[in-house]
Amino acid sequence: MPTTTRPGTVRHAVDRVSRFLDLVQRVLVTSIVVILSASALLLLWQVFDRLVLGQGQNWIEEYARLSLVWMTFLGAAALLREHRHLTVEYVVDKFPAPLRRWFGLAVDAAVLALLTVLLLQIPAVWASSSVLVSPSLGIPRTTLALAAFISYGIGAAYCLESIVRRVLDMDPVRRIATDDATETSGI
Amino acid sequence: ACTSTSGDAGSGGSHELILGATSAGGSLEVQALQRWADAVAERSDDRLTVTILADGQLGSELETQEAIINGDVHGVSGGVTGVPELDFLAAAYIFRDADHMLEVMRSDVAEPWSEAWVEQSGVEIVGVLERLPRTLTSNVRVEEPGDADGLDVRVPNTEFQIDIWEAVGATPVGIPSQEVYSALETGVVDAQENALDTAYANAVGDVQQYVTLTEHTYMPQFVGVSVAFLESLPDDLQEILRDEMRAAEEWLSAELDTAYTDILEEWESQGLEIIEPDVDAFRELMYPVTEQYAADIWGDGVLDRIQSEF
Amino acid sequence: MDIIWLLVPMIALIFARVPVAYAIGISAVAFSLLQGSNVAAVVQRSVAALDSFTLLAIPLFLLAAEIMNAAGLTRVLMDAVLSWVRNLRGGLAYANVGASMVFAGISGAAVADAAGTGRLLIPQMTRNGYSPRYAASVTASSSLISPILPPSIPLIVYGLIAQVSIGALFMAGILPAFLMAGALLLVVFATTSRDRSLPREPFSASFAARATGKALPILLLPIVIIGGLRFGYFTPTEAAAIAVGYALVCTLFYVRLPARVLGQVLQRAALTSASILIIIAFAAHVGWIMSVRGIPRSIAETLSSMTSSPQVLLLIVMVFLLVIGTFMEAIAAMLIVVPVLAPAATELGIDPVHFGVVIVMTLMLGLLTPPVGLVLYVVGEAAGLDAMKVARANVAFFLALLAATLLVALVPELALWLPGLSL
Ligand code: NA
Ligand code: NA
Repeated sequence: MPTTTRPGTVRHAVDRVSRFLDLVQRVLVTSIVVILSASALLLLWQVFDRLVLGQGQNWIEEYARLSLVWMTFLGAAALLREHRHLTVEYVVDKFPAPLRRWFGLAVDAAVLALLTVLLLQIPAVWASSSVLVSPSLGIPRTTLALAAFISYGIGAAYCLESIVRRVLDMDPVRRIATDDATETSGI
Repeated sequence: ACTSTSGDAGSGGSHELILGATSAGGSLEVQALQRWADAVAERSDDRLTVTILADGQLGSELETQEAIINGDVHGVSGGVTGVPELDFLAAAYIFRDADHMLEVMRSDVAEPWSEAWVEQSGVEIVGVLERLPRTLTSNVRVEEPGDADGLDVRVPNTEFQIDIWEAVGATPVGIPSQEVYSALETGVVDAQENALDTAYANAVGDVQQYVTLTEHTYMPQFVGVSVAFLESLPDDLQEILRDEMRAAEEWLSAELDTAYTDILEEWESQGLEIIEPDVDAFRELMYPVTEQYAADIWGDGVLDRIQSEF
Repeated sequence: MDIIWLLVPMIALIFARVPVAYAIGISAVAFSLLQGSNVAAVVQRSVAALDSFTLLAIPLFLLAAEIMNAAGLTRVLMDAVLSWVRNLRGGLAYANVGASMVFAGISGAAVADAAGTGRLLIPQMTRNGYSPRYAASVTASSSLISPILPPSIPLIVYGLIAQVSIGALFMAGILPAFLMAGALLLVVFATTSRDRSLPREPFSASFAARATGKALPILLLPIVIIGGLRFGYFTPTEAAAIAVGYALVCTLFYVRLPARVLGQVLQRAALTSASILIIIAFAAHVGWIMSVRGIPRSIAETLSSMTSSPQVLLLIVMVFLLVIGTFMEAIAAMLIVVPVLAPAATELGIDPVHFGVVIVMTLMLGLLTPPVGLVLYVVGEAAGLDAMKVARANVAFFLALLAATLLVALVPELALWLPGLSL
């Protein structure tokens, strides 16, 4: 049951922001797909290179580690928007619906608070990580921390969006990432 | 908040130095550090205590350094500093032997390098611990560089270390340290190169047949302490810290002399063959790589000075 | 023991439906703020925890299993296994266990197997006279073989925390996995052999040969992975990449995977692994806090003063983990418990490889116990049943798996014989 919102109302404005965040979500999901595909292909090539051609490529390992950090943090932000992180529902499910709604709000607020505190660490992390460089490729450790901060920033925006939509009693956002396994039939 | 001040009224407060080490708890290095800690506590009447957290409990050397910059931890002991000038000491045939290494590290040659560490993370070198030489172990008999042609060798994933082994025709493979044993056992790689004591601690002897004493690298291990922590100490405690470190360094050097023969004897009795290779032939191929990097990392003439003046 | 102020809020937040990773993060940050220590460290440690080549095996093995499921390879596999046992009473139940055993050689997580084989087998079993509860419980229990037979995501995580070779852990999981399958097959026999309502079909050698031939490339994949690891052709992370490549090549034999489906498969593998890895990231700081406080050492001292018998310690650890496993997600539990318990095990001379297999087997049992039994929810959904109903129907299978775990705990050779075998 989609809510119809009239132009000029608060809800209409929120929906416009949500449409922008839909776009952000799409970019996140596309990025992690690209990162995972690239890592899989590069690693396959590395095995071939080592076993068949007898050569080693040490940059692949560094790249692979970098990509894992980025994929995890970007993926974590994407999961926040669609409420698909691992959670324990059992206890809260036993509560009456109105109370559950308050729990939802409190959880969003708690995660938002965490992400805000972590975002405030940018200067400190920058000061202590930028001097350190990975031994082989010379990637500064800040390149890795950047992934974390992007994740916190986007995650915080998603939490705010969720809080506002809950308060205004609006529908949850559309899921961008696929959910169900799609089994092709007719083998 | 670098020091924890407990209720030790009257004695001017007590100081605790938390130091993270990457080596295993039972290793000689950690034993040396523990002796240092015990001696410091005793001589200072517990006004200064040193807590050693070994086994990489606080993470890698670089992670421990981040914690030092944050002020959660005050010291680190390990082979990697993140300072290119210091980390380059892992290159091949820089030093003739451990004494040569220690002599250079205690001279003015090393001063700009230690300053670079202070500059980078506010960590000062308070100790230079000796280690046994890096040496090749293998499942293939390696006496001269030609025997290493096409050999899959596990080396640290560092550019110059990879180039050094490519120079003798081997295929360097980067494998995480906890996988080395398994990789040697199953044959993912044929060989590994590491400090003799580290190789021994990793039980490399169980899965290798030959030890080729290339002894290409006499690499130090640095004990670094946060400058901010050192400055918070009264002068007498600083002195105790440094004095006792020198005693620990000397204890370790003596222990390593016996450890060297013990390890080789133990391996021989396990059935490994100890090979005295044609070291000059290895040096001839590896040293040019060291020279090529040395100019970039240390500047012109430094490597020559190390070779000629010490 | 001010660490209580870290652990109690963490568990409370998890029960309040805060995502597990963020519940750990919130309590770690709050604890650090209260202690007046640095919060930047939380960020740095979470980044450092993920900066690992070995962990990359997790998304790749998840991807391989997703490809299997999406391309219908799981069905081909199941048909092949079924063709050999369809003349037995309870044939579908035996096939359920057997298919999971093969699937386990490709997949590193129970959920991938429960979802993949459950979606196909539960409806088929129900149509053939099995009760939905029974179908759901066989599926749930046999999915636990996946994280024990290599590859295994929990064993990768254990290896990283305890600094133990993943290759050795993988080899150590093989015999225990067979033991689990054997125990489950015994229960299947006991529960189905006298049930005359279950259908039997005549065995046809040509049908079996055809179905097996069709599934041959898939049946070979676990052999390629395990053999490749054992004979040193590749490392665990490389094996994961090979599994992906191999599964993709397999799809060419059976069905063309449309780009859209491939995209979805990649997306799900990436998101699922992010949901596991982000827990590892936030938990890193908790492990660190405990290390700096010397908690692992004091627990090791306490435990070794209580007993000097490795068996007794293992039993204590098992009871403790069974309790933890009922209300905590397995990976999160491992991240917090292993750094604390591993030193105690080493002190008593327990081989860390053996210890890892026992810990993982015990924690995986938590997937079958409510309220946090993830597998129960997955199969419950496929069978249209409440998770609690599945759990109650599952008692016999659960006890069989528990017995297998106990046996591995008391007979270390079951885990250590294969990795110690020289070639
Ligand atoms: Na199954
Ligand atoms: Na598996």
